[in-house]
Amino acid sequence: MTTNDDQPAALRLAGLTKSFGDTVAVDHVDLTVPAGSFFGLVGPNGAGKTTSLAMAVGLLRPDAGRAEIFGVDVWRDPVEAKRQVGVLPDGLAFPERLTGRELLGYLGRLRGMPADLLADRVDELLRVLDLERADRTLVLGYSAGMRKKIGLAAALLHAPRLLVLDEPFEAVDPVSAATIRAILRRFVAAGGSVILSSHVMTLVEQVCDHVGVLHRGRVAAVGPLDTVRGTRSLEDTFVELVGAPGPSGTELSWLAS
Amino acid sequence: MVGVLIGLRGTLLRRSFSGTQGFALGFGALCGLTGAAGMFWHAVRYDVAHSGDLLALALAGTLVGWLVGPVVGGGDPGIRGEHLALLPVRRGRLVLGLLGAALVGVGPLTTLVGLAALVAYGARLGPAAALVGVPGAILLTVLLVVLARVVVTALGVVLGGRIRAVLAALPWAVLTAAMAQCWVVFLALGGGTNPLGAGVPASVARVLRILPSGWPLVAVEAAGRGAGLPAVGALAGLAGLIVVAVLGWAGLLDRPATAPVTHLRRRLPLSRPARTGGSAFGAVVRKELRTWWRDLVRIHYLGFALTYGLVFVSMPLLVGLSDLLPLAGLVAATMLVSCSAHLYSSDGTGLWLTLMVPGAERADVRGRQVAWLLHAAPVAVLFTLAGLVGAVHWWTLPWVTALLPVVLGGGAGLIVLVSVLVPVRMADPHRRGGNPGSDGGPIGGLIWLTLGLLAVVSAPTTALLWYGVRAGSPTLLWSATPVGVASGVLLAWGLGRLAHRRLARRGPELLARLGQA
Repeated sequence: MTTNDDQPAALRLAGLTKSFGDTVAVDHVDLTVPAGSFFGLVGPNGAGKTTSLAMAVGLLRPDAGRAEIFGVDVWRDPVEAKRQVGVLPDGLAFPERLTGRELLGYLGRLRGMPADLLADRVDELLRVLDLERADRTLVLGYSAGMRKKIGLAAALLHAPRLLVLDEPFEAVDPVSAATIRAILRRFVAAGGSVILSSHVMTLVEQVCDHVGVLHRGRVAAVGPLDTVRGTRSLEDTFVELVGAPGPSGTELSWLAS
Repeated sequence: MVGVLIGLRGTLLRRSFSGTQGFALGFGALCGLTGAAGMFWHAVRYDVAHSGDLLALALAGTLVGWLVGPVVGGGDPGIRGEHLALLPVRRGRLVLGLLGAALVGVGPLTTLVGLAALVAYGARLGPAAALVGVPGAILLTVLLVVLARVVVTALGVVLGGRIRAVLAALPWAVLTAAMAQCWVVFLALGGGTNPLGAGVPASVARVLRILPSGWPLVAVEAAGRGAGLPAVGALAGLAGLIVVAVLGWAGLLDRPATAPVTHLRRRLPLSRPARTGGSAFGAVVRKELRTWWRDLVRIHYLGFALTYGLVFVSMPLLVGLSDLLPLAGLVAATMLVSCSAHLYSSDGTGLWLTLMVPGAERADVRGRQVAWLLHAAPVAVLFTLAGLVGAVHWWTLPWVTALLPVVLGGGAGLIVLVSVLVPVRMADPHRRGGNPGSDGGPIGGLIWLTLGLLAVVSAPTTALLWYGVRAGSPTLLWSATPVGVASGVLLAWGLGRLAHRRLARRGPELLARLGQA
């Protein structure tokens, strides 16, 4: 998979490998997210999506392999690589005892953003993501969906060129999900690149133009959405790739009997 | 139900014998067994009456340990009542199950081993006394475990705001400081300062036997005298106390733990990012200051350290000694250092945000240091000045002016370095309540480690002061002050530098270890 112009890929993973004890979580993953693409990473639970994304952005050191963001090696030149990427990890803590506004303000200043620009962006992000009403609530008291939204705001704040989002739509209400989809589409249309992980196939089909399927730590399929799914739905392709047995109808017969 | 929970606790315990947690457990077991060996030694070393008094003192110490231990962390029973809230079982069985599970562990086991000293002591009084020592040791162990659970649960109910977080720290601070200064009590009551050599004053010995921790001893001694009724009475009293404590615990379990502070009462003027700019370092300082004032566990430790300092220096007033008063700031600062060496652990996986900002590690470490100093230094200086004014003891002045800068500066360095190097297992902040008893993590070991390191880094200054006093040389004595100031500055800078370089180099590894909690 190569990009069709001279620009380096937004994200390139080569031979990325990680083991935890005897378990190989990610096994020689090669993946390229072309610049300007909207890439969906799908796979069953425990396929290695979160581990791969954490290694791709510099949060988890791989045992082997490389990760590059716009041609910059994440592990050799982390400072330069991290300038270009915005990350939303799944389930990690924030500085919990700040309000959402304080959190974004803190993050912006930590990144050295000019004060005026920062204040305007924080206002706008909170308004667009419907977090303004929670002005006096500490992040600690946020619901799961609000945590996703403030995480997304934190990832967008410094206007990165690449967004790496781990399960961005999980626990988010339908209205907010539509808002987030619109924001991400606009971001890609303006030249940005997105890779998100999800196990909701319909969502990936709706928003992504490229897709990669991870299964047991390996890449089972990768490429433009239409190439990977062919004439079928992504869900059918996915089930065939990961080889899940369909329900036979006889399981759990004791339930509600 | 009871068997299932005990089995579950056993499984959890087996899984925890690895990594940092295994190390902490092993260290705890070693400390516990050392204490147990000491208890045996005292039970058989001296003449019978003296040994009995010392045993009573050790038993009281064990009681205090079990009451205070969970408050400074490490009291996580592994299984919590709220995990089982949806199970359709009666409260009584649930409590018995949780009690059974709480009895499985390194703490109860080493305590039981130590309390077996009652049997050894009883053997010196006769076979009947030795025999009574067995149920005595077992009953007291059970009582201690239940009391610790009551403390943890009560704390969860009580900690519902800043004031209450401070208030909840008071009893433990007073208790531990009084324990550390128990020589004052002995002296006040006409004994010597060293109970090992001079023996425990008779009145203290009596009080120690009136405390529930002394009841098994009373039973053993009664049996030794051939007085069956008092022996049985004391044991029955212990059993009765256990029942009362279990009932109290069951009552507390019904009350929901208060939620941590998640809302601000009013909108703070600083809520909006200031348009006047600000550096990365300033951003971290502000974030840390806010966290210090909003995290009930941090406030709790702050209250603990300050109260400890006050009680520690005020206790000798009981015997007319006011010499320690000017050291209030020094003692409080020392305790504050020891209670703050888990900054990164208590923030948990929130570290990812720092790691994702290019080159933010240095600002993060320096900001945390300064925010800590902004709390610790004014309070320490204020305490010191108040102490000096309250009791004009000029001999303390060179000690304070030399040691306070080392403790504050060295402490500011140590808390970040230890936090980066020795992560402890704590639940992520958004996955825990506001209860240091069940969420505080096993920071007991960290407290001792940090105190030890603080002693090491302040050793040159202390040595100068020591030699100054011995040689009777004011020049030498006062030369410790510039040395103290210089080493304080150097330590804050140098240890902080080690910390942020380590964080920049091994940040992902630290994050991985924090994420395993």
